[in-house]
Amino acid sequence: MIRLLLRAYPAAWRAEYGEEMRLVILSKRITLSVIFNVLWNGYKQRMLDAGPMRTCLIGSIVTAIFAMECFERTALVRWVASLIIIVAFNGWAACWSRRSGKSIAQSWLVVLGSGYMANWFCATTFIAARTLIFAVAAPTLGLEIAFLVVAMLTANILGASVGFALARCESPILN
Amino acid sequence: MARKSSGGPADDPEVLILSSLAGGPKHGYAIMTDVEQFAGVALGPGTLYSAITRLVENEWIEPMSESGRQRPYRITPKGNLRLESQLDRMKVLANVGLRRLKLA
Repeated sequence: MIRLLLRAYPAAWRAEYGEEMRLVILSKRITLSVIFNVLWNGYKQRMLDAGPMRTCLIGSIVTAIFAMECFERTALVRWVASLIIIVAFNGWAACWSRRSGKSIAQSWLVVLGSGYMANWFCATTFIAARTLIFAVAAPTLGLEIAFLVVAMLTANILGASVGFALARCESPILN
Repeated sequence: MARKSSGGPADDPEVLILSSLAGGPKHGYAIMTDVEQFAGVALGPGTLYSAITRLVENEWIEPMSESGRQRPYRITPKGNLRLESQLDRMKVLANVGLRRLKLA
């Protein structure tokens, strides 16, 4: 079971610290709190270890798959799915950016840039939300532009917030 | 009884680990029990090794052997400076806070 838990960490990290950590876990009573603590930190480590290219590639592929998958579903499902993906993707990008020692301003630029790339790639957020809004309001150019900006900024700011929270906090929930 | 970290400056795992290693080299489990004894904070294994990873990367601590089942870690001169500056900041903060509390 401990070996399974340690799979949450990247292989290179496991090679360096895996055996030591296994012994530390063995020395404790394995409670739910310990399991979550290990999984949570493993997830953070995986995000921190991801390079920019891998981040962009995975984010783009996942976003594209979900965009295609969600196209036939309702507008609400599309909206929620795209928001979750972009939040996760941006969180990853923010973590990588903070990890590489960039300033907060630079990190925000990276996150916003990557978020916009993801948004433009699939445009699900915009399409889904547009469908919802224009079902009740007449579409005008001004409204469309305003909506595009708000939808993208919301997704990016949420994503960046998650990323920074993960990158900065040691373990906000479990210790 | 050990408590979970409340997120305050005195609960920062990096400061706690550096403080523990300032007393001599220790391996992961020994650090965990030492921190629990002197600070009353129970570090989870994930939190402990995430902090150790960062401390090693910043060269504030170093493993004493290349590999092994339970490698001891020791604080580096850079780590000593880091700990000193962190504790000085906490001392200033604590003094100001306590002084103002007494005035209030």
